[in-house]
This record gives sequence, structure tokens and C-alpha cells, in this order.
Amino acid sequence: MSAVALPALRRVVRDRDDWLVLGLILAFGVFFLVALVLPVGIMLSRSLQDTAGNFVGLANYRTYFATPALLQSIANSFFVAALSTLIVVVLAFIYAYALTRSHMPFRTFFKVIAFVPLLMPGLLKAIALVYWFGNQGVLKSALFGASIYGPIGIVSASVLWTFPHAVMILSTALLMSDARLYESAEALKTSRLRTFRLVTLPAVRYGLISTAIFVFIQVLTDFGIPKVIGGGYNVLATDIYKEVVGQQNFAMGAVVSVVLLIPAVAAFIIDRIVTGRQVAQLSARAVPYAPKPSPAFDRAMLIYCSVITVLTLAVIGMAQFAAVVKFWPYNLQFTLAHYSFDVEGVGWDNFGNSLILAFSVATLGCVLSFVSAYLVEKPRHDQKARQVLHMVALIPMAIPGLVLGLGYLLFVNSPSNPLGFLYGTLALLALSTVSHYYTVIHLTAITALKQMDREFESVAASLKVSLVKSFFRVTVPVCAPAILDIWIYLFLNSMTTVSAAIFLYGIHTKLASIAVIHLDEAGRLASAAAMGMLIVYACVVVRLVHVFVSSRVLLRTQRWRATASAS
Amino acid sequence: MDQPYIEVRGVSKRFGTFSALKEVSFRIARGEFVCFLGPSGCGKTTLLRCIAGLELQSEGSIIQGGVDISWLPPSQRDFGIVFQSYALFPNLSVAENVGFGLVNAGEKAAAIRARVTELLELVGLGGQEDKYPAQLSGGQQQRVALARALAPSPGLLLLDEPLSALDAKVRARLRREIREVQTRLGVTTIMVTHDQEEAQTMADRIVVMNEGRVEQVGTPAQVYDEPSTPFVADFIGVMNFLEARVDGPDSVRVGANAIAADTRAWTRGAQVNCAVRPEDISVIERGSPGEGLPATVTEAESLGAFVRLYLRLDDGGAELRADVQKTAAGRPHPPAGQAVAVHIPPGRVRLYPRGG
Repeated sequence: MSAVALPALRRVVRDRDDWLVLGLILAFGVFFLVALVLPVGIMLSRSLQDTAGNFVGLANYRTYFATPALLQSIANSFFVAALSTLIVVVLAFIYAYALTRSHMPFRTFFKVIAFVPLLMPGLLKAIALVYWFGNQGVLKSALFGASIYGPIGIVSASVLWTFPHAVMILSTALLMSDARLYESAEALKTSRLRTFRLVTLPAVRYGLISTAIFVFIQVLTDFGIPKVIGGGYNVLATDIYKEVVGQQNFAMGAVVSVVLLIPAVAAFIIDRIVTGRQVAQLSARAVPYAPKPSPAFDRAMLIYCSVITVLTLAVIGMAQFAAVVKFWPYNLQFTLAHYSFDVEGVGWDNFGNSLILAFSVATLGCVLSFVSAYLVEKPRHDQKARQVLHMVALIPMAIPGLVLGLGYLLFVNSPSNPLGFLYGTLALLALSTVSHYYTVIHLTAITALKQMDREFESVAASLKVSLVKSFFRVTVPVCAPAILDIWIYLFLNSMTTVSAAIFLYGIHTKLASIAVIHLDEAGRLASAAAMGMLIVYACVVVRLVHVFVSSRVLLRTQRWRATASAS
Repeated sequence: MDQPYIEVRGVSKRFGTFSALKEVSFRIARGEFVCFLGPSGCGKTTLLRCIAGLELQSEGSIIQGGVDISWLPPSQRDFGIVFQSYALFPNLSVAENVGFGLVNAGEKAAAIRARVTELLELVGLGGQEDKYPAQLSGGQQQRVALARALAPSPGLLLLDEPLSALDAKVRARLRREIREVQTRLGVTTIMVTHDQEEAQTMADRIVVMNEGRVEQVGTPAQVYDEPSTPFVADFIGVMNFLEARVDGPDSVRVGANAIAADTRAWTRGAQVNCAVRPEDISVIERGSPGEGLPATVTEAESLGAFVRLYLRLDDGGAELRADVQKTAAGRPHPPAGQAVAVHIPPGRVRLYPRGG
């Protein structure tokens, strides 16, 4: 039948912007291939090879599961992670509840103080705990003979370390509440407890699950804290380090990495499912809840928050104190000697490296994540490719830093890799760090872009304005708050993190956070505290400058928001 | 219409297995104001986006000014667009928004400023150049969006439900203003709307759409008075449908009663739906001279200028609505329960085939 025509060929014409988009998507494909897929892939395949690189199937896994000492680490890791999660979720929930649902005084102060520990490496908290409760500790007797070196120390330091993140997630969840539900409950003469159980808890259910998953994975995969305060208590993360650095057994290091990767991936998937369900929990008509004064409750909350604040300050205060006294606990005279770092391979240049790294990671990550989020959200063509880009950008969340670091190590050291020259450079450290934090920054940028009218690009196209121009004239200024958030998030994390970098630094590119570990290994605890405090100073200064600069930038780019509420 | 400005030929659009547009074809003359009208999900917005190049049709072609633009990107087509959300750039002032597309065209700053001022005057927003969109009311924002779309003097203006987000009074005023601006500039305009009143008052012609198909293209009077499908008859205004059977050359039978209608196009005995507007039905006293179908008033609703009576035919029990004017004498309408007769004038009846 001649009437059945072949479907006409689609002669889609692309304009310059469409080609630019396609080019950028391909560039991101190459970026993720090098910065994520190949390292992780090589790490996985290495777990199936013997030390000479021959394929041996699951032999390494059989060896692993036949070694009781290694298996014990799985139990240990899960135990400290679960216990820390339980404690943090309870403590942080009460704190967040006090911040958002009580009428206690000084709420702004408590909000700020809760986030101060974010400026402090987890390692340093562990060191401070050693000063409080260690062999020479002031409060050693408070442990009734138990040792801080081991699960107690790991759990305590992990709780201190993850607490601010948990407060942040839970406060957000608690703020998204509908006052009308509470008014209805009150009108129906529902008791406070029953209201809490039937209204408050269901509303923050997803926030609680997200927090628990986040804390669990952070603690499970953390390396710095158990390294410093774990003593003989082995966990998966320290096992990887020992296999790789101690025994040069990359294959077994890879096997342990896979064992660590499995729960991380599982938790990530659960978290994605949970956040997927969370949408549209709060209708647009919801009325924000405004807490009413309730003297007894407010006083209780004030006491609770004060206690937490004192604990927070005690940790940071002890770290600073230890760094400037001559010889704890025998000679408490003031000295700056610990800041001279007279240990082989450790010095002020480590701190300089950290600063360079943090600035480059923050800036590079800002640009990359914002562009990748834009490519996922806004263009009209290449939908499949954009979806793939988004999926790939979510992967880093599921990969522990230490595992990613090992992947990079194996990747750049594989003989056939032309990128081998990158080993030990700050460029490689920066690449691994950006890659490690990519999911969070990508999603932050996506959220900001989703709040913009989806038709801006259509209007710009109809006005013959190029994508690049409307991107810089409209998208970037409107999203300035999110971009600034991404920058400081990356800066603080790059300053304080250890995990991916521990396998990747070179003689001239050692970072301050790694120097802390080396000083601790060398028994120079006071110097370790001093190096840790350098990180804190840098974070505090940069954070303050950031607040100042942000306010100037936001004043300029967000003027239109102020006028909106004024009129 | 020998040389249409826009011609849509057999355009279909599928999203996966869902067909949003099915073989849509029509033409628009230069300078015409056309409304795409239909219920939500009928494909009218998809069609508009295909014309703009914001979506690509799965099949078919679109011609603008004699050029096949079917596969061109939006940046290479000639149109200005206004969205329901206005999509004003929030961080740019009113003047910067309106001048957004002019700066790019490489015009001189003074010329741009003059053009922006002229456009803002045109939409009645002179002197508001330095405000931010958030400082304006919804109606004002929509006017800025209109000025911005018109700034590069496009050959085609596309309006995607531009008035839906506004309240009733502002909407009525903006309808007239948009139409005035359009007539003054003579720009060919397509407006998508689900509001038939909007379409009736603004459009030169209406494209009535349903489930991805064009049901009828015609002037507002045509689609109201001569709806070509039962959907159009039902969707535009209010319509009564009575099940009937073709009885003879000039009548159909509803139950035991005959209604006069032009049945020349039908075969005797054909099952039909007999459509008649409420305002065409006269309600008369039972037993008065002339033909009338016996009915009973079940409910009466006062709708301002007229009263809507709900009637049930005594024979067969079919439901009818009839609108009766409140006369100057203030004659009371028949109360519920009153036995009456309804008269349906022959010229006001349209017949549609009944399913099966």
C-alpha cells in the first residue's frame, strides 16, 4: 500500500545553545568517568585479583570471611554506628525541638552554637576527648575504669561530630509544620503528648529516618575518629587503612572496601526512596507553626540546650587548651612550642596545602555542581543523557571517602593510565574531594534551580537571548544564596576531611588533617591538637569572611526579594 | 484565506504511549486573534508549545510566513510569548525585563530606552521602569510580560493562559486591553485558554479542542450557534440534549411528542440527540394554544438577569433546563411543582447522531 508512508525523518535543527548543552553533557560524562566510574570500577575489579594482578574470582572474599579478626570489625563497625545513631537522633531531636518549638530565650545563640562544631575536624574532637578522659585525662575516673580508647571513645567523638548535621536536618523537618493541625488538635482537646505522637512525629518521620541514615553511614565509614581514639578496637575503615598502608595488600583493602560499600549503598537507596516519598507533605496553604510560651517546658529546654552547649564548648576549649600548655597535665604553663611541629614530614606547609585545597575545591565544586544541575534541570533536548547525568551525580553519596580514595590510588597507579603523573598532586586531591561531596552540592543546586520559573529559558529563547547570557544575567544572581552555601560547605569539609586524601597525598601535598593523624601516631598529641586548631582558626576566619561577603553579595543580587515583602 | 500566516498540517504529539495531539490541522491569517479553547488536558498548551518550538511534534509540519519552521529551535522562530506565571526575571527591573531581548539585538542604549518607554506606555505602565516585578500586582506583572514579548516586534504573539492567575475584575479589564494592543499593532496572536467567555470576547476565531483533536474552528458566533459536534455544543455555553428519533422530513419524536426540526440530512428512524439551548426554550402555560411538550418544574434558580428553570418532561422523564427572562413587570416564574408546557422553536434545534 503506497498510502503507508515511512515516518518522516526528524530533521531537528539545533541552535548554538543546544550544541553547547550537548557538549557540556559529554564533558561531564568524561569528568565522571575519570573522577568516579573508573576509580570505583578498578577498585571493585581489584578485589577479584591476587597481589600479582591475576583474576582469582571470589578467593579474596573467601579468605576475608575465613579471618575471624576481620569479621569482628564488621560487628564492631555496625555496633558503634548503631549506638551513635541512636544517641545522636535522640539528643539532636530534643535540641532541634527546643530551637523550633519552644519559646526559650537565646534561641539564636543556641542555633549558632550548635553549628560551631562544624568548623572542627572530627579528629580534633577525638583528641579533646583523650585529653578529658584518656590515660592522663582530667575526668578519667568518670569512666569507672573503662577506657576511652575503644567503642566508648569512638561513639562519644562520633556523636559530637555528627550532632550539628543531625540538628540541621531535624530543624528543617520540624519547621515544616502546619499550625492548623495543632489548632485542630487543641480545639479537639487533645493532650500535648497525644498531639506530639499523632501530629508532630508523623510530620517529621522522614526527617528522622534521613537523619538516622545519614549519621549511621557517616559513623560507619569514618576513618579519622577510630584511628585516633579507637585503640585496639578495629572497624572496617581502619582495616582498609591497615591493609593498604600497613601491609600493602591492595586486594584485601579492596575486599574490605566492598564490604563497607554494601551497607553504604543500601542506606543510600533507602534514603532516596524515603526522600522520594516525602514530596508535597506540606501543602501550599499550610500556616507556619508559631510556638507559644510555656514556662516549665521552656525552662527545661533552656537547661537542656545549656548542657549541650557546655559540652560543645568543653570539647573545643580543651583542644585549644591542650595546644598551648607545655606538658599536660604536669606543666600547664603557656607555650606556642606545639605550633612549631618539629616532626619529620609535618609542618606549616601542610596547613598551606589544606588552604589551597579547600579554596580550589570550593570554587571548582561550585562551578561544576551548578553547571551540572543546570544541565539536568533546564535544557529541552537530550532528556535521556540528562537523566543519566543526574543518576551519576547521585552516586558519590553512596561511596565512602576512604573507598573512593583507594579507588583513586589504584586508578592513577595502574601502569596503563596516562594520568599517573597526577599521583600525589593537589589536583588529584581536589578532584577526589569534589567527587566525594558531589551529590550534596549537586542536589543543593538542583533545589535552587527548581525554585526558578521553568519558563525563563523559553522566554530567553523567544527573545533570542543566548543561554550563556541569561544564565549569568538571571540564573546565577537569583541562585546566589545557594551558590554561596555550596562554596562554604565545600570549604569546611575540605579543611576537615581525611578520608579520601589519606591514600592520595604526596610528600609536598600533605594536608593539615593528615598531619594531625601523623602527629598523633608519633605520640605528639599536643602538636596534633595544635594542628587541628589551625584548621579550626582557618574555618572560623573563612566562615566569618564568608558571612560578611555573602551579606554584601546578597544585598546586591537579592534586592528584589526585600522589596517584595516591603510592598 | 489564500496565503495563511500560520499553517498547522497534521500535527501529532505523543508522550510515550499518550497521544497529546492527534493530526491537528488549521490555518491562521495574518493579523488574526485566535484562541485555542478546551478543557484541561485537551492538548491546547502542547499545540502552542509546538508552534513555539518548545516541544517538538512527533509528526506533521508547521508553516509560518511561508517558511517550514517545524524543526527549528525556538531561537530561530519569530514569536513573543507570555506565560500564565508571567516568568518575569525577578532580579531585573521592569525596564530591564522589557529591554532583555533588545540589548541582545545590539541596539543603542538610547534607542532601547525609548523603545522600553514606548512599550510601557502602550501597556499602561509608564513611569514604573525602575520597580522590580515583586513590587507590582499580578495584572501589572502580566502587562510587563506582554511588553517584554512585544519588544522585538515579533510576527506572532503567543499567550499561554495569560489571565488565569488573575482575579475576575482585573481579568475582564486586561482582556479588553490585550485585544486593543493587539489590534493596534496588528500582530497575529494565538491565546490558549480554558475560559470560554475569554475566548468568546477576545477571539476573531476559536479553535475548540478536545482530547488532542480539533473539534471545530470558527468565529465565536459560529461555535456558539452552529456547534459542529456534540462536544462543542456541550462545552460552549449550556446545552440540553434530548434523546430522539427521526420521524419525518421536518420532525423528530421525543417519547410520544413531536418536535419540529430540519431532518433532511437524516434517514427516517435514525437515533439522534436533539440539542437545544436553554435560552431558546419558551415555557408556556399548560393548555395554551400552540405546540408544547407537557413538563413539570422541578426547581428554579435565580441567576441575576434571568431565571433558570429545571424541568422534567411528563412523557419519558427527560430533564431540561430553560432560561426565562425576568420581565419588567416582574411576572413571577412558575414555582417548583408547577405543570407547564415547553415550546422549542424549529430553527433552534440541532441534531447529532446518538451512539451505537
